Amino acid sequence: MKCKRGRVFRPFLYAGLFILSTSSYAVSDTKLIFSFDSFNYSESTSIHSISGSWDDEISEGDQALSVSRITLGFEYKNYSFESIVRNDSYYGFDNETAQFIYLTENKAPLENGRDYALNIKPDKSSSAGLRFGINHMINPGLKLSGFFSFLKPTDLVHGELNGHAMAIDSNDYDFNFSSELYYEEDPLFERETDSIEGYGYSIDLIVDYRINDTWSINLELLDVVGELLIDQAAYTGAEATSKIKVFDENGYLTYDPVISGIESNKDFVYQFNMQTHLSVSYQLSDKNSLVIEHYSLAGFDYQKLSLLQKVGHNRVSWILIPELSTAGIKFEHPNFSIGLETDSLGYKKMKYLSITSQLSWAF
Amino acid sequence: MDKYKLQKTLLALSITAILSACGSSSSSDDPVTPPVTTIDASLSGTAAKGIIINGVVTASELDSSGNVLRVVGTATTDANGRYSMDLNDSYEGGPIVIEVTNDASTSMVCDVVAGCGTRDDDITDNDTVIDFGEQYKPSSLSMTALLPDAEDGESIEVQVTPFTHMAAENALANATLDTTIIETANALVSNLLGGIDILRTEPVDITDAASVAAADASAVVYAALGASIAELAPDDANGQPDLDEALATLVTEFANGTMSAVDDSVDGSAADDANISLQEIIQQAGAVLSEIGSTDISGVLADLEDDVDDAIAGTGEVIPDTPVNVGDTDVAKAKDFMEDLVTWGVTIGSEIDSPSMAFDKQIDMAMMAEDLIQNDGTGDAVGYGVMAIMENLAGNIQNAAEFEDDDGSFPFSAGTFSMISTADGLEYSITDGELTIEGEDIALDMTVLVPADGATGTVITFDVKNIEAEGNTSILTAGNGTIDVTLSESYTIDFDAMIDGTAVEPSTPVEMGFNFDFSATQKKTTNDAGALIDATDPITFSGDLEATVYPYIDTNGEILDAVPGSFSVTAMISNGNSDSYEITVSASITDADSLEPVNAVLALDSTYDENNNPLATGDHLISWTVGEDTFTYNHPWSSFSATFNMDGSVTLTQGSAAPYNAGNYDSPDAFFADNLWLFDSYSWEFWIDGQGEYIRNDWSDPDYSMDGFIEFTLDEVDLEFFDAEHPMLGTMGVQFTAQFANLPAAAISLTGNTTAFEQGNATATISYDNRQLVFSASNDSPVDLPQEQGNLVITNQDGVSVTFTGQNLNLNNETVEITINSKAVATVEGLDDGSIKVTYIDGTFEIY
Repeated sequence: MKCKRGRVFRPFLYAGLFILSTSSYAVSDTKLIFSFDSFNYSESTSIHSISGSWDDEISEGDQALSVSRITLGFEYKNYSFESIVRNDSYYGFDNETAQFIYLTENKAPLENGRDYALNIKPDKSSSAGLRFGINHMINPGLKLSGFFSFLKPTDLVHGELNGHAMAIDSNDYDFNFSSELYYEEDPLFERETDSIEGYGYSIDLIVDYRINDTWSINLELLDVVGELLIDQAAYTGAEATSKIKVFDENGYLTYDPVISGIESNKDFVYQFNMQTHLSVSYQLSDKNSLVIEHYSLAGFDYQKLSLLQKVGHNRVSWILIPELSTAGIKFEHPNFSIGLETDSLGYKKMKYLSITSQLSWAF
Repeated sequence: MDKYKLQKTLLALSITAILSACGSSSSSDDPVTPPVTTIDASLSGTAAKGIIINGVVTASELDSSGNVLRVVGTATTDANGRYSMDLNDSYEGGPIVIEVTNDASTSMVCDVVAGCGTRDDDITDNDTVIDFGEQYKPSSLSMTALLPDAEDGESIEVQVTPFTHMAAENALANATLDTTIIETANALVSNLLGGIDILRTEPVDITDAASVAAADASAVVYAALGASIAELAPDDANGQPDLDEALATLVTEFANGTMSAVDDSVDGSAADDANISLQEIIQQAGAVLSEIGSTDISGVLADLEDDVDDAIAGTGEVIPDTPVNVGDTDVAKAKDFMEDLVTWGVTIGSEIDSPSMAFDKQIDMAMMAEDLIQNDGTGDAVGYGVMAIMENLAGNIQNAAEFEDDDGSFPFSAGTFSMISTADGLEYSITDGELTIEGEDIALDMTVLVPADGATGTVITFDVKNIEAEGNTSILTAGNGTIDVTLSESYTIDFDAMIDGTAVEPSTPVEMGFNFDFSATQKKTTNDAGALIDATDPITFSGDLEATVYPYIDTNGEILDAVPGSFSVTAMISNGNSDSYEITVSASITDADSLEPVNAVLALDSTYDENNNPLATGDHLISWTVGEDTFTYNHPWSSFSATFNMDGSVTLTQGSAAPYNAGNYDSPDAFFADNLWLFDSYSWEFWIDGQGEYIRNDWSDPDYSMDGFIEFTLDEVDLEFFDAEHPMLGTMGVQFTAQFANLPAAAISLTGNTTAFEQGNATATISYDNRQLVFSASNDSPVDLPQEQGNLVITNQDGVSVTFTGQNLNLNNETVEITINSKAVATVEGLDDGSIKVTYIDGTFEIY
């Protein structure tokens, strides 16, 4: 791995400062800990559709994202060591682009004379590594937790595609676009590439503050600082046109662009989007609490309302996200929890899907 | 003898092969004039040295010396600095310089952190200071970018920045301008800037925080680097950056393709406006990013700092990486090759797929012409006419109806021979000939001129005066030519003897040559259901025909068949709508003069004539075809049948009468040796006069079949000269001129050469203007190996070559190389979606 001066020391600097600031803390049992969090949202069409089937109609919206983390490790006293695998996928696009893709994928009639903007900004990475965590009880009601992850990138797609498509008939269109992409595996042009090389890091901060017996606040700042420094990532700049047209058996133009461009390798820095999660809990009674949460991720913000009920040693949360027409449920046991939130029970219609699972086993 | 049969088949096969393989031809009979082709291309991008609003963008085509030939497009930048233009029709494909200049309405966003001096324009401001992010009207501006060319259908993204200007001026400093120089200059500057593609990377408005936040990291750092040039520019009288001066300095710095790592101003010395170093650019770019609260996340600035450090430790000059194969002329040749390949492939394919196109009509015409000459009986009629004249010449027959084909049939129902002595010589004619060939009634009139009286030699030349054969479906006429009959022995023409009917019969012909003008006109055609209908747009196929035919003669001197040796026709195919094109078809068969039938034919020869009598003239020996014919002998006192099997053995089956040596024999010879007495007992001589009949030259009944004593069941001997193990070897070729829509006229030549069974080669050549594509396919694999052993080589006039083998022709998970003089220039691979990707050694690629 080729380390660039000025960049190689930065993550270790962060890690060192973090560790120094959190030394000396309380005792806790040794635990096996596991967590799985997957958050998926597509604004304009279903997740299944935007994943490639394009069988669901397009509504308003210009983004889709999928963020998943899996961790497995040990917690000892106030320290934790975990392996982590994460995937961060963000797709920004022009709504017209989604409409155009939907129509052409389904061979639907185009609006003759309409000029469709073609703008897509993929921003995806996968990485794996080690995560070190530490927590510190400032006082009985305030706990600070911090996590530092050292990561190796395993996948990358980052760049943009810009152009337009002009419908010249209900089944025919002219198009051209230019694209710039950094990637680990060429998603468009099937370039043979070597495995991605580089490293990365991220820092998460969590604050738990129990104000009194009724009110408590939880603030999670994930990827406060985080990036993947990729050495000589595969890069392609290309332009595509509909210079050669091929029509299918029904006379509909098939997407068969003539493409020219250049392939090279460049150093690239992938920056993680910071995720913010603020949760305010109000205890209604001994068994019931009301929780209001705010999530923010890459410009996508929404609020979640939950009713948390104690059932013996367990807890059940009934979740509602009004603006996304989403409902969910979460069951928490002292040793494990599982939660599901979705806006549809049919997997082909889901625009929102969140799955969480955690396991904590003391030994 | 059907001497035209194989000729016609060859011609038909040639045309069929060409049409099926390549989609065939077209053209007109006008001189070929390449159409004027326009290049439909567009340019767009952002003009930024600070975003330039209402900038005047002019695209000009240059000659090879860098001189402006003509303006090929204009545009004005919008509020975001974007411009877009379509090149006009005057563009002819040369280098393009895109220049951004200012006029009274042009303004520029100030991206100098310290501001851009004192305002002296009419832009509203709350003070007289041009602050960072504010627009102002520069007093002068000229910034360029240079492209090697624009190709038809391309939509090219070209930014115009100080760095594209630097590259453009670097390229223009050369005495000559070509693709290599331009691409190398652009690539050098890109490499100098850490790999930022100076033409493609669209710089962001560095003063707009929102734009910066949304932009790609490379776009941000590119803009920051561009902003540094204004920072480093000397101030004019109003304290505004003198951009022209700064750009000139930048160009001077890069004159040698390198840039100073540092200059005096870097080390704290007084600002040195006379020089611009890379370190200064980096520092100023960092300052700009800092001003907007951003950092370089692309890693470019850090890389450039490394480069500066390396240069300081060395020569002091930052030397950008030499672009890998950029501008490699072989790459350009390979790209032109692929362009031609795709253009012609797609055009031919689309024309074939689109029935409305003219080319499709040409295909139909060719197919109808093919049908005209292949499936019509008029050609056969002419052949019979020639043979009848030969028979009459020998005194064997007195009218055409007496002519007997070698299969025993009498094709003529009427026809009068006549001889007229003319100034040109003795004319032999068939008048009012009537034939029926495979159910088609044909009227035939033909006149040939026999050689002069007393002419002697082995070659008899008949001058073709006129031939007209009209059948149900077509009319065939021929004239102005010759028919040469080469005899095995010298022959002397004797007019008196011919007139008296006492002429000596010529010896057996060993070769026949045909050379005459011909015309075949369609009367009928078949509809989609295969029914014969009147041709509403009749095809005429007329031209010159040359052919050589070799008769196949049995041991009795009888002509049993004919093998075409060579064939060449140059003809015009036309229809009633004045659509026409010329096509040349040629073919030859290797060793046609010495071919032997490949199907085993057993002939009883004089060995089995008990008295060893020579056969009577005109009689034929019995011929059996192994596996097909059974010789059956029936007699009141004995009967048997002898079947000749495919393996050469003979099975003798006892009949109803006395048994004789029934059983199996290893060979016909063994059979006859053991059973000759069978024949001896009841006949002296057996031979067949024509296929399927027999005569017996003894004292008794001349025809055994009449009284039922003896039956011979013999099929017509159908001679086969070619089969799987004995393939037709030879060459064939077709040449024509094709005119496709939106493409120059092209001469198309297709040739094929069969060297062995499933072995051979074929070549298709497309030539137009000064360019050429040659497709050479060959298959030299042995019979028992898969056909995939063959290969297809495509080359052009520049020596560019790509070879596909049978295994990788579809490019499924395979790659092949494009080479020039054995130098690998590109790789070709098939993608999962069926597209083809070509990756060149300069890092560029194309997907079709």
